[in-house]
Amino acid sequence: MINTPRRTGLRRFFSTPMQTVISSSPDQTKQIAAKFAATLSGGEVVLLEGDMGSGKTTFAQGLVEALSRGEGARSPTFTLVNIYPVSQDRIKQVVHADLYRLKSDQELAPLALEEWLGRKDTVVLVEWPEIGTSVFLDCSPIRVHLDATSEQERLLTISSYA
Amino acid sequence: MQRIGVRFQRIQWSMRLLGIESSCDETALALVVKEGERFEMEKSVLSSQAAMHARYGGVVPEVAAREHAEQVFPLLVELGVPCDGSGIDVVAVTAGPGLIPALRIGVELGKSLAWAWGKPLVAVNHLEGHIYSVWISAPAVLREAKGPLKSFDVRSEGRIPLFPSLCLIVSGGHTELVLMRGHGQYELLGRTRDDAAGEAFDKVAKLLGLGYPGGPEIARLAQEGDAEAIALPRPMLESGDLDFSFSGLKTAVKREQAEREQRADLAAGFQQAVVDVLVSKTMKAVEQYHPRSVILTGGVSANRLLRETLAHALNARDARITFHAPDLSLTGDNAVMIAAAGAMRFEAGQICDPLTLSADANWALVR
Repeated sequence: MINTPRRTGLRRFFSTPMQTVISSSPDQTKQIAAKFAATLSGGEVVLLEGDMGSGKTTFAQGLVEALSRGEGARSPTFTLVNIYPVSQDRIKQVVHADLYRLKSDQELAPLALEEWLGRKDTVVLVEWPEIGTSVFLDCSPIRVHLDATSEQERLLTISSYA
Repeated sequence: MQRIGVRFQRIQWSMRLLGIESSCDETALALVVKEGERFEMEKSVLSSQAAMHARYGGVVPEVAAREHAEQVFPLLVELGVPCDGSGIDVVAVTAGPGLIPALRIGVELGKSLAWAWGKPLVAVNHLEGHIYSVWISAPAVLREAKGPLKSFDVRSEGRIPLFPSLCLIVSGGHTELVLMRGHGQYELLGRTRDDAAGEAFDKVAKLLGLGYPGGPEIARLAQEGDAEAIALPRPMLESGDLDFSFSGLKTAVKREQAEREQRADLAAGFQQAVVDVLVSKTMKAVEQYHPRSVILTGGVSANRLLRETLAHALNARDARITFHAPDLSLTGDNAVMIAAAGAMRFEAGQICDPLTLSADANWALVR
């Protein structure tokens, strides 16, 4: 049932399976996220990795704004999971999770992410995914790694785990 | 049926409510009595209470806090709710916003009890609950009123907020400015675009190597620091709207921290920056909407600097605007506030069918 990311779509924008992009501002990070969003067709699991302040929520905002053309995403650190409705042909919602506050993968169950993983009408975005990597690996996730190379500049590495 | 409902409400001069809250980390139950315009907190129990865990089988780690199901019965017993629901007039439950698996536990409990007891059920919005936390007079209010905040603690003068009321809801998951024109009438004026204020406190506390929750830790360390020693930004201050952003402030602290050692100055500077932005936007909203009262609520409302700065700003602007903040025991998530909000919804006739109510993760206060 698990839908693998469309490699063809990714290639159009990111010419190789692993691609690095440099962003020089939060706005540009959002633009990159918007272009990335255009390659999604539903069913993808996107893992957002990077230190605090590297721009994970900014990337998520760009992605959600591009898909929903409306309200932006807010940090799900406390709420754990935010669900944004999307009115597209294929994607009906973006599920934005944040595992920052979890201490072990046992704490994943109460988030009920399995209700969303692999659903073809859903894009699942996970910030601080490390604690649940074993669960997400089964879904052929796309990995977006953000690295703060200077005060404003961010190095984005987009790759797949498969 | 309609006529019976109206008559029932008129003769209901006193009602006793069971409140249920389980929207995020905390499971909470409370008994609240409403007499006239006043609420009295009878009893409140929280799943996080150490005493409860000791009594019912050891300390439950945080993981179980969100798996509320097994905590519900110990909490009901602790609260002293009779099995037949006698003495309880209304069941009020948080139905959103929140984490669905957590919300469902409380909602299903509320539905089951209301259905089995044949009592009316009301669904409460979690943010609305925070707003109504200032209507409650808890015994602890008197203790707090003796402190330095006395002159701003309007509840000690026995007043309740007058409408329109401007509400600043600040917690780990929310930062919202809401205009309340009457009971149940809300207008969203502004909100955070990224991190909530409480989340910023926790993340900066972690950057500074402090414990959790970060709010009290930062406030403590800030007392030893100079808030003006390190220049930190005031995000969105000149944005022209009433929205907030705290993500950049967190990043700024991280940047400054790489170059400096003065943790206390950073804590003080950060706290001041958050308070400045919150108070400044609230005062802008006061100028635009001319409220008769201002309500500060949510977990971050426990911050003393925020309470005092906002109270002073309001006093300087127009002393007739009353300022309301909850008792410190009610700033975090609790079921007392849910019962209070539930009473208002019940009086407005917004009773739910216990067979069909379902939790709504995205229940916006303002549709």
